[in-house]
Amino acid sequence: MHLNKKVLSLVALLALCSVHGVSSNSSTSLEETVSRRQSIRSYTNENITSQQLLEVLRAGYGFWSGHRSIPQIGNDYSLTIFPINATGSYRYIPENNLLAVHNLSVNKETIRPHINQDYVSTASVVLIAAWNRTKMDNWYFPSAEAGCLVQNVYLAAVSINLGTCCVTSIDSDGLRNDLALPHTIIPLLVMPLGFPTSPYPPASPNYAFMTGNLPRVQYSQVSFTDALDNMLFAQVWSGQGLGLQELSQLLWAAYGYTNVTYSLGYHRTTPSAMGIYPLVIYVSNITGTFRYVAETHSVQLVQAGDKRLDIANACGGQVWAANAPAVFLVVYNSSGYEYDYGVVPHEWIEVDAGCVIQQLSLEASAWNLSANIVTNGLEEWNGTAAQEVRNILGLPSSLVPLYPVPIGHKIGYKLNICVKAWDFIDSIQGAYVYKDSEWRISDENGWANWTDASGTVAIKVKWFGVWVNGTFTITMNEDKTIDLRCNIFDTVITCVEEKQKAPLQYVNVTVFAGESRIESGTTSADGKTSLTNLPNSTLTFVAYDFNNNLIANETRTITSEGQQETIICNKNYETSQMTWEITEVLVHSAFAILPLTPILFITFRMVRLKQRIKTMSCSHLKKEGG
Amino acid sequence: MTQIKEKKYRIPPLVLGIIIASGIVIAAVYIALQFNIIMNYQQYPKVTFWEWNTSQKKTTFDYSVNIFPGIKTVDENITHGIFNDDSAQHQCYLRIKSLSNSVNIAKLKITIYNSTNTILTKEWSESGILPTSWENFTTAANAKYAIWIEITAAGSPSGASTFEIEVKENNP
Repeated sequence: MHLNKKVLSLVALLALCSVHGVSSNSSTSLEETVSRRQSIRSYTNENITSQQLLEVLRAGYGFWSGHRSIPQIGNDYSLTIFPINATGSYRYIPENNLLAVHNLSVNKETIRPHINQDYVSTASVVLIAAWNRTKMDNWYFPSAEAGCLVQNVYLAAVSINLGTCCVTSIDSDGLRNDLALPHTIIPLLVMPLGFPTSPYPPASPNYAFMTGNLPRVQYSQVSFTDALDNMLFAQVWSGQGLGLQELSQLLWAAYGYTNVTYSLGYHRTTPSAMGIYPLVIYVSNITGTFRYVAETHSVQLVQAGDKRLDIANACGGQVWAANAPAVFLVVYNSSGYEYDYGVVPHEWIEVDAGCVIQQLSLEASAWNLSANIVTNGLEEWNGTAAQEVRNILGLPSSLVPLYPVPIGHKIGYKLNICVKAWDFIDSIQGAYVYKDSEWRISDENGWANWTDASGTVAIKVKWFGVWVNGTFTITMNEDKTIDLRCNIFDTVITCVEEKQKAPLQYVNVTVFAGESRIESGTTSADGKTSLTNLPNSTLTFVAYDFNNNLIANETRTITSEGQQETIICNKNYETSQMTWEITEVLVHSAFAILPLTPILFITFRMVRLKQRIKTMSCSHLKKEGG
Repeated sequence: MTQIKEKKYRIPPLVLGIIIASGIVIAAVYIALQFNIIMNYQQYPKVTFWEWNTSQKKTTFDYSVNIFPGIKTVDENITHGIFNDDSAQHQCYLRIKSLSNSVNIAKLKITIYNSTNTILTKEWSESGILPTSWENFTTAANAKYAIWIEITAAGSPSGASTFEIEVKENNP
């Protein structure tokens, strides 16, 4: 238990690092990343880092600017992801983008017998996507949802030069038993994740195939992660129709070819169970319904006339979908796709469909469009709604309509908000800027941008969990750019010891908002350090000595720019005592003998005179006696 | 025969007595006066410490401050300064006499200064021999000086430490 806690803490810490340190190649356009995608079945023995794992998981099933990385298929998101490596099994928590320990005694070797592909366990990590039946009691939608996840995991892996593969041929019950999951949690598929033994080759859309009536696919200026970030699942669109280029991009992204070859030909933009690619993509617009022919990158008219409303009505009366200028329809062609072991399971087809749905959503995002997914009426495989759609479009009975995907131009105006500190100098990176319930994280220059703002929108900003700007509303009747001055203040902190309030130099002062570290500084000779861009809140200031021992822990409420606070360091100290003493040295005491000088002088003179007289007397007597 | 009469050369006893007596009296007065002056100087030498809060002269004072591992504690103006309350400048000397717990202290720096002059800046490190040699400085007539102390604690101080700091003043 103790070990589990330690591991959880470590993984959680790494998770936090990863949120702010995504390292994928964000300059590669989405189309190039999609072109490079392929299934990898050979891995080196190098382990991937926790940061890389979390980066892939966040792209696969995490949150981006307040929305999930995949559309909601059905009435809820129903998947749970279990990453398993050599150290144990974990559970991904999308809301926090971190891993929780599931069971350290179940590792990738434990589950190896339940996966029919031996290469899977040679990868650093094995991801298990499991369906939680308590969240959605439909056998097909979770598989389509898993397909969306699969596509994102592929693209995220490609972005950071990792490899993966979708493996649906698994022993679901065996995996559930190993992981001690309840019967309501059902493993659907697994994806190994590791470093490929061979690098990805250069790739592009297959221009050799683009001989049809659609224009050549172009590269957008948007990366995979930017497409995830900008993704919008809308139910209203502007009246503008899709251009031919946009149509070309979307159809290629859904089911087109790349120029990367494999044993059976060229890769497509999405994977397919058993490599059979049994789907057909239709698109209905105001003029008619067309079938996409990937081999020539063209569309063929199937039925003239606007069928969008009919299709929408057939799908549980979801008429909002008919407002989109184009409704893409993912259809399963059941004829001729029985493989050696019998009929392809419907769940596998759903996974294929999910990959196509995700590709449409991503490409729409890259071209500043918004997509959505219609599921009403399609809960049952080849049910009443499928039959109605088939009738509307005059399709043969071998074709099974699966999901309409309406796509159109976002409605609204550009709203560009630059988050500024109170000093109006610092731009704030990493603030959560809310437009109503949707949020964006401000970039390195402080910008949070929308292209679809309409009506009256409420704006507020959260910085380290603190609301730093009162909610205000903007009426979006034109494009708007706003510098938003927030209650984010610079402060000066002085550290002093307790007895004399003497300033302390070299103290590390770190400020926290709750558990979140905001900034650190080291005091200079005057005991001061500047801590900038602190939210208007009660914050905790923690001071550490040279050995990182805590010497102060105090809270202060920051309310103004340039606020000065003094922190008294009163923990883990020693006392230094000084005793000062001054004395006087009397250099003139030697002259105390001066008053006796006359006596000594006279006495000395008398002795000398007496000796002289005595000498004179003796010499006279000698002469006389001579 | 010439007879030489030896005559004793002598100071009249009265004169001698007066001279001796007056010498003893003068010496006694002088010694008494000196003793009185010494006593006064010991209580209030011309150069003393000066307690800023109470504006009082002191010949000794205690000062204590907290220290932290690897941290420099800086007090730019400690509780007492130095005051030359004389119309003449005085030469003074300062040394660290002893330090009870030398492992606690990495460095000690003392600066004596006022708004116009810095008359002493000296830094001692832990490797020094105690007592240190005398550092001399000259206080100007009728001048007050602040004492600036910087104590850098060792990496892992343990227990209290006590400095004895001696200042002596030449009184010509």
